[in-house]
Amino acid sequence: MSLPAPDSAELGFQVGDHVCGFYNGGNSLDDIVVDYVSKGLEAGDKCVCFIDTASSVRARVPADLIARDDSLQFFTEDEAFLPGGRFSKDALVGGLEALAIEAVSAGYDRLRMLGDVSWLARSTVDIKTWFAAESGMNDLATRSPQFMLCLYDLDLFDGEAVMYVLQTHPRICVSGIIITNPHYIPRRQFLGSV
Amino acid sequence: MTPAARRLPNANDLELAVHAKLSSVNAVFTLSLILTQASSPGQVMRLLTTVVPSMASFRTAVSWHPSRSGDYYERAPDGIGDTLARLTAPGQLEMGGFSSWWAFPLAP
Repeated sequence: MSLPAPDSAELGFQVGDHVCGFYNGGNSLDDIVVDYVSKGLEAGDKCVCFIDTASSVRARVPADLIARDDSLQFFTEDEAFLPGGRFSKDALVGGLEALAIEAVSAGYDRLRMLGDVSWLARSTVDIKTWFAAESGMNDLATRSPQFMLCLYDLDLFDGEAVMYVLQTHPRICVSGIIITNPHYIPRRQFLGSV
Repeated sequence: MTPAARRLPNANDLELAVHAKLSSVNAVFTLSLILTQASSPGQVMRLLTTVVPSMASFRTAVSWHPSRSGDYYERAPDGIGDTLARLTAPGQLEMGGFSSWWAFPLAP
């Protein structure tokens, strides 16, 4: 399955977006990341990916799109989400905000981030703790010029987790089109429900 | 205020009820979008059955597979295909001595 990141204004990302997408294991993750990153680099954005398949993605991104050494950065999922071996919502949100500020300071108009959340399925982090952090990222999204795409493997998560994903992301990427998510719940209300 | 008057739902109750209904509809609609991306019928069944407790206060959810049983579903009762094909409106199904099944056709 391919989940291209669209680039047209009416179908694409808006600055401040916090979008979720779903995929089905295997190579489909790389397809999504390559497309998302390539579109971002073409637009002159800085791209940061939190995935465990950096080498296979990097090999498929056209080299001529990488204008600067720091245009495309990769962190493993553990480096990004479990620094020091533990999960901290504040550390995560603070780290993401620092990346956005750093990108602007370095002369980029926008930061385009992508995270694969497969680590959650193999960690002991409480699922509600994670989704409270996801919900908190919506505040960050409005403060910085960035896009955030969170990817969930449908092979790894059950229906309950999918519903949490839908409750914490204002927009969804479905078959390459980004739409408003009618099941999204604002942060305060979501935190009250969990 | 009389006890009878106290039982009447007020505007706030109605608004909450409408909001709850709308939320359920939104959940079903949004989930259906996600299920269009599922890779197999088995994945759809797993997601559907594990999502039910998040959407409604059921203790148990049962889904049927046409030919076999699995972790998340039961084998469909014999003859259910013909019974469902005849269904033109929401109604109770009576099969194998059980009458606690209800079905709602999604298309006439």
